[in-house]
Amino acid sequence: MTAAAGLIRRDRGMPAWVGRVVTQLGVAAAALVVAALLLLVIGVSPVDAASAFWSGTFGSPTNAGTTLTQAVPLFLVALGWIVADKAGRMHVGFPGQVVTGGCAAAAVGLHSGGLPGVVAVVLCALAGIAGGALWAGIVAWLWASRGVLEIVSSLLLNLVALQTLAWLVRGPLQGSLDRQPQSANFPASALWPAVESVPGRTLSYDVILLPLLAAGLIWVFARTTFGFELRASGGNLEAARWSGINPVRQGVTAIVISGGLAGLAGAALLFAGSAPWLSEGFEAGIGFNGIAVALLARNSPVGAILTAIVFSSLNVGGTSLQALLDVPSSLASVLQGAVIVLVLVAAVLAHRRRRAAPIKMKELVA
Amino acid sequence: MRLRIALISLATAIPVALAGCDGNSAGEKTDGVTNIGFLAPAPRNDGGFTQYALAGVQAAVDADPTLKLTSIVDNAAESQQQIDGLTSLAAKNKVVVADGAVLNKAVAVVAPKYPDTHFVLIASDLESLANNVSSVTVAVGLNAIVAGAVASNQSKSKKIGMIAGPEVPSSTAWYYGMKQGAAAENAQTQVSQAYTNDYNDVGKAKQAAEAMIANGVDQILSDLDSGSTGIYQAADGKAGTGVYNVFALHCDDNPNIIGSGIVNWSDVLKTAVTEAAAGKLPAGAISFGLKSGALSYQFCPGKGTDAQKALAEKITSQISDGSITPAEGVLLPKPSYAYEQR
Repeated sequence: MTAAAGLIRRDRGMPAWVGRVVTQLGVAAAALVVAALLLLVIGVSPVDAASAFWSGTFGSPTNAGTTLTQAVPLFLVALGWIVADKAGRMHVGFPGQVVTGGCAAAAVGLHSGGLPGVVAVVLCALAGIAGGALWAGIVAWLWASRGVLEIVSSLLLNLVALQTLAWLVRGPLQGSLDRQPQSANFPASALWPAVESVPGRTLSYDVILLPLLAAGLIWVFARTTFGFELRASGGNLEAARWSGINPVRQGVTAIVISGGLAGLAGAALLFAGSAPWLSEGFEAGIGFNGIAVALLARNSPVGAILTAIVFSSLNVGGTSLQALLDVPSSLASVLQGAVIVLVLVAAVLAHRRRRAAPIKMKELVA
Repeated sequence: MRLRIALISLATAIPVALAGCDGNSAGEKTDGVTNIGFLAPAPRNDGGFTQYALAGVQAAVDADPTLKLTSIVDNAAESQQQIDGLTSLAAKNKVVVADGAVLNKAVAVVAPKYPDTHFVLIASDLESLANNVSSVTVAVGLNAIVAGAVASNQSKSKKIGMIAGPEVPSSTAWYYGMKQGAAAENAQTQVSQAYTNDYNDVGKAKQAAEAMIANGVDQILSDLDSGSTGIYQAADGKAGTGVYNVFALHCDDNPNIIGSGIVNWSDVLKTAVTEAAAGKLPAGAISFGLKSGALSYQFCPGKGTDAQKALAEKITSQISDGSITPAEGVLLPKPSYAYEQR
């Protein structure tokens, strides 16, 4: 650390990460205030709502298992966003990649009844990763070879993926007794293992991915050449080129990896949750909510663990609020929207603070 | 790096630790009162299927002071959300109504975990029998036969159509029934079908209806909820287009409405909930037909000629006495386990 940087740090009075945590806590507190006000408007006591929310999310091992398990797909999509963002690529194809990953995993899962459990689980996960990565590969190819903006192509490919899913559940993968748009149930051997001691087996072992992938990604970014090249490509394109880094290759790689993570999220939604079949709406907004998770975490893999759990709690707790207090289902969506808006406000404030820093540097030099 | 690893551990450990904090059980049943929960994939005020079903549950509660409708979960469109909702409801209610064909798999997941709760699944059957689940369906296709015959008689172009939300058996039954009824009235009548994949999307319904009208269709049956408004708007644009509703008469909504294939979901739900609360609703599949009074075809005031009214009565009686037998696709697939036709 240089002397000047040290002076700056002391001048700010606290390390940067403390500021980030304070910002996130501030967002959470503001969201709570907004929620309390909304509840009061519809005539529900915030205290009763808090109790029902707690009961539905962490009030029992069963519900906590559900909340944590549902956080995993959100977290995976958030990591996908973070990887692409580090390389300077901003695509919004996660819903499509979750869907294609889920469809690929479902196609494999439905035919894996005779395989040993471990093989079936690994195959389904790999199929999910491959499905998402291939779908993202189209975006990457269009960007790298044709100069098509990835945000445009990925958005349009989302629609293609959703229509493909609608066709699959009514056609080749349709498998329910009365021809509902659903597949047959996946064989038990293909389902991802869950903690037996949690009633209802709602806590899937895939929650291990939360710390493992967060730590892994931090290590890749901080300690590997690949991570450095990725960050360099995202930081300054020209500087990266002059350093001998191929930013296009890094961008393509980042988009494909982010698609693979989203595809894995699709597989997790189907095989780690308690709804082991493919249905039209299985993506459930995970693709876009995952982006919000990453934004709220300010692109920190560690922060994404917490924010994914917060968003998952909002989903699960929203249903609980309906069931216990008859709170409208749209309130959870309103809360999520409020959180995203508050995140944007926090981002603007953080940006202003960063812009203020060089002035202090000048003062120090003078 | 060490700090980050510590933060990762903390971020993961806190929620896992919280998971061990067991709250009080919500599964208590109040003495003397039977709690009822209701879950639907659509909004509770959809102006159609869900709204009528909820009205039936409310009617059962109003008729019996020992029944209480404690909770309503609506807009549960996605499987995981449906499972979460049913789980929450099952923990605190003796009877849980799952109002929608698409809930069949979710009910199959949740019901075995709550053997003391009676689940009433509406408009679909389970893939295999569960001892605490009664699936309640209505043979809407029988009503569609009557509607098809009347629409065929009313049509000048001899082209009639049906527009529904998702292409599921409870909707396709309307198409196959209309086809059979139209053929009984005039073998030359053509019947077309369109699906908007959403019972409440007005725009898609309008587009589908306009496309049909452009192809010469002049009588359209709407198996939609609030999406029916789109069909009314399309019919307003072409004089002579007749519209037919399902579930209930909506004669005041649009002057082009001829009548409705009434499906009295409210009565069906009232009966089912009352019996389930009293422990008298058998497990297995129960289908309500013409004999139960759940189905009937009715004209709007001032609509329908005497000949058409006579035709409706004739087709109805022929279905009831068995001289008209439902063609393929008119009735929902019959499950292999306990089945009761009412």
